[in-house]
Amino acid sequence: MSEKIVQPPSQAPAEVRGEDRNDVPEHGLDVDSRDAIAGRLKQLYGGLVNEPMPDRFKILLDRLAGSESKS
Amino acid sequence: MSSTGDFQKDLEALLPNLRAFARSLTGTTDRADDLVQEALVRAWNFRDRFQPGTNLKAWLFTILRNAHISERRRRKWEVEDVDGEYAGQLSVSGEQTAHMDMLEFEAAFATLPTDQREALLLIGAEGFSYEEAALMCACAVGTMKSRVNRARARLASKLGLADESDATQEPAGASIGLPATSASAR
Repeated sequence: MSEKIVQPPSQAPAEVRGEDRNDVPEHGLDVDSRDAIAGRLKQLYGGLVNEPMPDRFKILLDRLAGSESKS
Repeated sequence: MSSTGDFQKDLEALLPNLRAFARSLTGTTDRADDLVQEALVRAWNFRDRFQPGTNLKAWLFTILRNAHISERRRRKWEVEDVDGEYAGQLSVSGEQTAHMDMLEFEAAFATLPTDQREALLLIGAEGFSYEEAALMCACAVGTMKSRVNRARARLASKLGLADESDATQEPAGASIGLPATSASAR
Protein backbone atom coordinates (compact mmCIF):
# COMPACT_ATOMS: atom_id res chain seq x y z
CA MET A 1 0.00 0.00 0.00
CA SER A 2 1.57 3.31 -1.00
CA GLU A 3 2.11 5.81 1.74
CA LYS A 4 0.38 9.10 1.29
CA ILE A 5 2.39 11.62 3.21
CA VAL A 6 0.88 15.03 3.56
CA GLN A 7 3.62 17.64 3.52
CA PRO A 8 2.97 19.84 6.52
CA PRO A 9 3.01 23.61 6.25
CA SER A 10 6.18 25.42 7.12
CA GLN A 11 6.87 26.11 10.75
CA ALA A 12 4.63 28.94 11.82
CA PRO A 13 6.35 32.08 13.03
CA ALA A 14 6.54 32.43 16.77
CA GLU A 15 4.04 35.23 16.93
CA VAL A 16 1.23 33.08 15.58
CA ARG A 17 1.82 30.13 17.84
CA GLY A 18 -0.22 29.58 20.93
CA GLU A 19 -3.82 30.28 21.66
CA ASP A 20 -4.22 33.41 19.53
CA ARG A 21 -4.23 31.74 16.16
CA ASN A 22 -6.85 29.26 17.34
CA ASP A 23 -8.98 31.83 19.08
CA VAL A 24 -12.30 30.83 17.61
CA PRO A 25 -15.27 32.23 19.39
CA GLU A 26 -17.28 29.37 20.82
CA HIS A 27 -20.68 30.85 21.21
CA GLY A 28 -22.52 29.51 24.23
CA LEU A 29 -19.40 28.15 25.93
CA ASP A 30 -18.23 30.64 28.52
CA VAL A 31 -14.59 31.37 29.15
CA ASP A 32 -14.56 29.57 32.49
CA SER A 33 -15.94 26.38 30.97
CA ARG A 34 -13.51 26.53 28.11
CA ASP A 35 -10.62 27.11 30.51
CA ALA A 36 -11.75 24.27 32.75
CA ILE A 37 -11.81 21.87 29.84
CA ALA A 38 -8.46 23.12 28.56
CA GLY A 39 -6.89 22.69 31.97
CA ARG A 40 -8.12 19.16 32.45
CA LEU A 41 -7.16 18.17 28.93
CA LYS A 42 -3.64 19.48 29.43
CA GLN A 43 -3.40 17.68 32.77
CA LEU A 44 -4.59 14.42 31.28
CA TYR A 45 -2.39 14.72 28.24
CA GLY A 46 0.57 15.99 30.20
CA GLY A 47 0.47 12.87 32.30
CA LEU A 48 0.69 10.76 29.19
CA VAL A 49 3.57 12.81 27.77
CA ASN A 50 5.52 12.45 30.99
CA GLU A 51 5.12 8.69 31.28
CA PRO A 52 8.36 6.71 31.35
CA MET A 53 9.45 5.88 27.82
CA PRO A 54 10.17 2.23 27.07
CA ASP A 55 13.51 1.40 25.47
CA ARG A 56 12.01 -0.27 22.43
CA PHE A 57 11.77 2.91 20.36
CA LYS A 58 15.35 4.00 20.89
CA ILE A 59 16.45 0.45 20.16
CA LEU A 60 14.37 0.44 17.00
CA LEU A 61 15.78 3.74 15.75
CA ASP A 62 19.32 2.63 16.55
CA ARG A 63 18.71 -0.53 14.58
CA LEU A 64 17.24 1.36 11.62
CA ALA A 65 20.13 3.78 11.59
CA GLY A 66 22.66 1.01 12.10
CA SER A 67 21.36 -1.18 9.32
CA GLU A 68 21.51 1.78 6.98
CA SER A 69 25.09 2.63 7.82
CA LYS A 70 26.13 -0.92 7.02
CA SER A 71 24.52 -0.89 3.57
CA MET B 1 19.55 18.34 4.37
CA SER B 2 19.85 17.02 7.98
CA SER B 3 21.93 13.95 8.57
CA THR B 4 20.55 10.57 9.50
CA GLY B 5 21.79 11.07 13.03
CA ASP B 6 20.03 14.41 13.31
CA PHE B 7 16.84 12.92 11.96
CA GLN B 8 17.02 10.13 14.51
CA LYS B 9 17.55 12.63 17.30
CA ASP B 10 14.64 14.73 16.08
CA LEU B 11 12.38 11.68 16.08
CA GLU B 12 13.48 10.69 19.57
CA ALA B 13 12.71 14.18 20.85
CA LEU B 14 9.14 13.82 19.58
CA LEU B 15 8.58 10.38 21.07
CA PRO B 16 6.84 11.48 24.29
CA ASN B 17 4.24 13.50 22.45
CA LEU B 18 3.87 10.93 19.72
CA ARG B 19 3.29 8.20 22.27
CA ALA B 20 0.83 10.35 24.20
CA PHE B 21 -1.13 10.97 21.03
CA ALA B 22 -1.08 7.26 20.21
CA ARG B 23 -2.27 6.44 23.72
CA SER B 24 -5.10 8.93 23.34
CA LEU B 25 -6.13 7.45 20.02
CA THR B 26 -5.94 3.80 20.91
CA GLY B 27 -6.72 3.81 24.61
CA THR B 28 -4.24 1.07 25.45
CA THR B 29 -0.50 1.13 26.05
CA ASP B 30 0.20 -1.99 24.02
CA ARG B 31 -1.65 -0.82 20.94
CA ALA B 32 -0.22 2.67 21.28
CA ASP B 33 3.34 1.40 21.46
CA ASP B 34 2.80 -0.80 18.43
CA LEU B 35 1.37 2.18 16.61
CA VAL B 36 4.32 4.35 17.54
CA GLN B 37 6.68 1.67 16.34
CA GLU B 38 4.81 1.42 13.04
CA ALA B 39 4.93 5.19 12.66
CA LEU B 40 8.65 5.32 13.35
CA VAL B 41 9.39 2.66 10.77
CA ARG B 42 7.27 4.47 8.18
CA ALA B 43 8.86 7.81 9.04
CA TRP B 44 12.31 6.32 8.68
CA ASN B 45 11.51 4.64 5.38
CA PHE B 46 9.96 7.81 3.98
CA ARG B 47 12.33 10.35 5.51
CA ASP B 48 13.48 11.44 2.06
CA ARG B 49 9.99 12.84 1.55
CA PHE B 50 10.28 15.11 4.56
CA GLN B 51 11.39 18.64 3.72
CA PRO B 52 13.83 19.94 6.36
CA GLY B 53 12.62 23.18 7.82
CA THR B 54 8.98 22.14 7.71
CA ASN B 55 7.00 20.85 10.64
CA LEU B 56 8.45 17.44 11.51
CA LYS B 57 6.01 17.01 14.37
CA ALA B 58 3.01 17.51 12.12
CA TRP B 59 4.54 15.17 9.55
CA LEU B 60 5.19 12.49 12.13
CA PHE B 61 1.74 12.83 13.69
CA THR B 62 0.18 12.51 10.27
CA ILE B 63 2.07 9.28 9.69
CA LEU B 64 0.91 7.93 13.03
CA ARG B 65 -2.65 8.97 12.36
CA ASN B 66 -2.61 7.28 8.97
CA ALA B 67 -1.19 4.13 10.53
CA HIS B 68 -3.95 4.19 13.10
CA ILE B 69 -6.61 4.52 10.42
CA SER B 70 -5.09 1.60 8.52
CA GLU B 71 -5.07 -0.49 11.64
CA ARG B 72 -8.67 0.34 12.42
CA ARG B 73 -9.71 -0.64 8.93
CA ARG B 74 -7.96 -3.94 9.39
CA ARG B 75 -9.58 -4.46 12.75
CA LYS B 76 -12.88 -2.94 11.63
CA TRP B 77 -13.74 -1.59 14.98
CA GLU B 78 -14.41 1.76 16.52
CA VAL B 79 -13.61 2.81 20.04
CA GLU B 80 -17.12 3.06 21.34
CA ASP B 81 -16.50 3.37 24.99
CA VAL B 82 -19.97 2.74 26.26
CA ASP B 83 -18.78 1.08 29.43
CA GLY B 84 -15.84 3.33 30.08
CA GLU B 85 -13.27 0.68 29.26
CA TYR B 86 -11.30 3.11 27.08
CA ALA B 87 -11.22 5.67 29.83
CA GLY B 88 -9.94 3.18 32.32
CA GLN B 89 -7.12 2.17 30.05
CA LEU B 90 -6.21 5.75 29.24
CA SER B 91 -5.79 6.75 32.85
CA VAL B 92 -2.34 7.49 34.13
CA SER B 93 -1.39 6.13 37.53
CA GLY B 94 -3.82 6.68 40.34
CA GLU B 95 -1.37 8.87 42.24
CA GLN B 96 -1.33 11.38 39.42
CA THR B 97 -5.06 11.46 38.73
CA ALA B 98 -6.52 11.00 42.16
CA HIS B 99 -9.10 13.70 41.84
CA MET B 100 -12.58 12.62 40.91
CA ASP B 101 -12.93 15.53 38.54
CA MET B 102 -10.06 14.22 36.45
CA LEU B 103 -11.56 10.74 36.39
CA GLU B 104 -14.83 12.30 35.38
CA PHE B 105 -13.07 14.22 32.64
CA GLU B 106 -11.37 11.09 31.36
CA ALA B 107 -14.67 9.26 31.21
CA ALA B 108 -16.30 12.16 29.38
CA PHE B 109 -13.35 12.43 27.01
CA ALA B 110 -13.68 8.77 26.15
CA THR B 111 -17.25 9.27 24.98
CA LEU B 112 -16.25 11.74 22.30
CA PRO B 113 -16.52 10.53 18.73
CA THR B 114 -13.12 9.66 17.32
CA ASP B 115 -12.87 12.66 15.02
CA GLN B 116 -13.75 15.08 17.80
CA ARG B 117 -11.36 13.48 20.25
CA GLU B 118 -8.59 13.60 17.69
CA ALA B 119 -9.34 17.23 16.83
CA LEU B 120 -9.30 18.27 20.47
CA LEU B 121 -6.02 16.49 21.05
CA LEU B 122 -4.33 18.11 18.09
CA ILE B 123 -5.62 21.61 18.80
CA GLY B 124 -6.14 21.70 22.54
CA ALA B 125 -3.40 19.38 23.75
CA GLU B 126 -0.68 19.49 21.14
CA GLY B 127 -1.13 23.10 20.09
CA PHE B 128 -1.33 22.63 16.35
CA SER B 129 -3.11 25.36 14.44
CA TYR B 130 -6.45 24.64 12.84
CA GLU B 131 -4.77 24.81 9.46
CA GLU B 132 -2.11 22.29 10.45
CA ALA B 133 -4.61 19.94 12.05
CA ALA B 134 -6.93 20.16 9.06
CA LEU B 135 -4.06 19.22 6.74
CA MET B 136 -3.10 16.33 8.97
CA CYS B 137 -6.67 15.04 9.08
CA ALA B 138 -7.38 15.76 5.41
CA CYS B 139 -10.40 17.88 6.17
CA ALA B 140 -11.44 21.49 5.75
CA VAL B 141 -10.39 24.05 8.33
CA GLY B 142 -14.02 24.76 9.10
CA THR B 143 -14.64 21.10 9.71
CA MET B 144 -11.74 20.98 12.14
CA LYS B 145 -13.03 24.04 13.98
CA SER B 146 -16.47 22.49 14.16
CA ARG B 147 -15.10 19.24 15.54
CA VAL B 148 -13.19 21.09 18.25
CA ASN B 149 -16.19 23.20 19.14
CA ARG B 150 -18.44 20.18 19.32
CA ALA B 151 -15.92 18.28 21.40
CA ARG B 152 -15.63 21.13 23.88
CA ALA B 153 -19.38 21.55 23.96
CA ARG B 154 -19.95 17.87 24.60
CA LEU B 155 -17.37 17.79 27.35
CA ALA B 156 -18.84 20.89 28.94
CA SER B 157 -22.25 19.29 28.86
CA LYS B 158 -21.08 16.00 30.33
CA LEU B 159 -19.15 17.79 33.04
CA GLY B 160 -22.13 19.94 33.87
CA LEU B 161 -20.42 23.13 32.80
CA ALA B 162 -22.85 24.05 30.04
CA ASP B 163 -25.79 22.78 28.09
CA GLU B 164 -24.54 21.10 24.91
CA SER B 165 -27.25 22.59 22.71
CA ASP B 166 -26.44 26.10 23.86
CA ALA B 167 -22.71 25.60 23.50
CA THR B 168 -22.86 24.59 19.83
CA GLN B 169 -25.04 27.44 18.63
CA GLU B 170 -23.48 29.90 16.25
CA PRO B 171 -24.81 33.34 15.43
CA ALA B 172 -26.58 33.79 12.13
CA GLY B 173 -24.18 34.35 9.27
CA ALA B 174 -21.13 33.22 11.20
CA SER B 175 -18.31 32.55 8.81
CA ILE B 176 -16.34 29.37 9.10
CA GLY B 177 -13.58 30.90 7.06
CA LEU B 178 -13.96 28.69 4.01
CA PRO B 179 -14.98 29.18 0.42
CA ALA B 180 -18.46 27.95 -0.47
CA THR B 181 -17.16 24.81 -2.16
CA SER B 182 -15.53 23.47 1.00
CA ALA B 183 -17.08 20.62 2.95
CA SER B 184 -19.69 21.76 5.38
CA ALA B 185 -18.77 21.69 9.00
CA ARG B 186 -19.79 18.58 10.84
